[in-house]
Amino acid sequence: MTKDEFLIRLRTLVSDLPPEEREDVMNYYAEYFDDAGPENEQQVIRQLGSPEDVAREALGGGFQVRPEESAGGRPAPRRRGLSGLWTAVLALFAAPVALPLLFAGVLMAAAMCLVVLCLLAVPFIIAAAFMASGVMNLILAFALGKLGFATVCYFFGAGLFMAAAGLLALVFSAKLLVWGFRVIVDFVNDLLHRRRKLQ
Amino acid sequence: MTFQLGSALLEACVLAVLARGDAYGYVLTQQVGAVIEVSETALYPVLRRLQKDGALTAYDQPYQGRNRRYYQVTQLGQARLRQFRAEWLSYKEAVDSILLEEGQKDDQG
Repeated sequence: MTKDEFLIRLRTLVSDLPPEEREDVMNYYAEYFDDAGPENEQQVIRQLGSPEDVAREALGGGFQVRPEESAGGRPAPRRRGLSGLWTAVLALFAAPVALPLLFAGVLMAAAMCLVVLCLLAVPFIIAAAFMASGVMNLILAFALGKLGFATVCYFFGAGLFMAAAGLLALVFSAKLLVWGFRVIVDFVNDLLHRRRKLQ
Repeated sequence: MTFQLGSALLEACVLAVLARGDAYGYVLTQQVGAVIEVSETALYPVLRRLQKDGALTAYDQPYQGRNRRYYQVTQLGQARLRQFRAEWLSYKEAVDSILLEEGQKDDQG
């Protein structure tokens, strides 16, 4: 950054001040650079920090805007609130388009979450089905005992197998669920942060 | 540098330096900064405040085709400086009494 860029930037940052105060700051720092000499320009910039640092000190460090000086409805002293006001005005004008779009975006996000949840439900359902049929087979094993030992063995074995498969599926789907929730949470956070960054 | 000059102490130091002779912003910053670590941007609000309070006046002197603004201590500024000095001495004493004290007093509790 050069001295001129620095001073131009500083002028922008203190532009909210009444003209007399603003000229005072600008004169002080323009003089400061001059007195340091052109050979020390970069050192001065390094020492001062950024134009933002300078402006912050200059604005916050002792400027009391007396009530009669803030004529013309200028907002209360010290806050560079004009950028916040500008954002509000823009937001108001953008609302008729932005709000429906935002609503659609939210709905879409919700729909996607729902889809993910449904997909996650599938292994659970499979697990439940397996376990249920496993239990059924075990019951049948005892109910159909009179059909012979082989039959009992068959149903008993089938029942155990299905119940075990169902338990495995349950464990698997539980892990899948945890992973799925994390994906959803990250996605929502991402969405929120991206919106905040745009502001 | 562990300790930072608070804004009141900075005001006092600025007044003290200027009491020894009028100076302009850059050289004043260098003089204060030579002795104790100070943020270069901190001086402007201090000078501004001292002017507003009537402790300093400013005047311009032409130099190399431009103006150089010098700051000068007023009567009020001198009085303020005396006040600062007295407060500093008692403050210094208080801090010394805590900081420089050797040995722990026994805990009676």
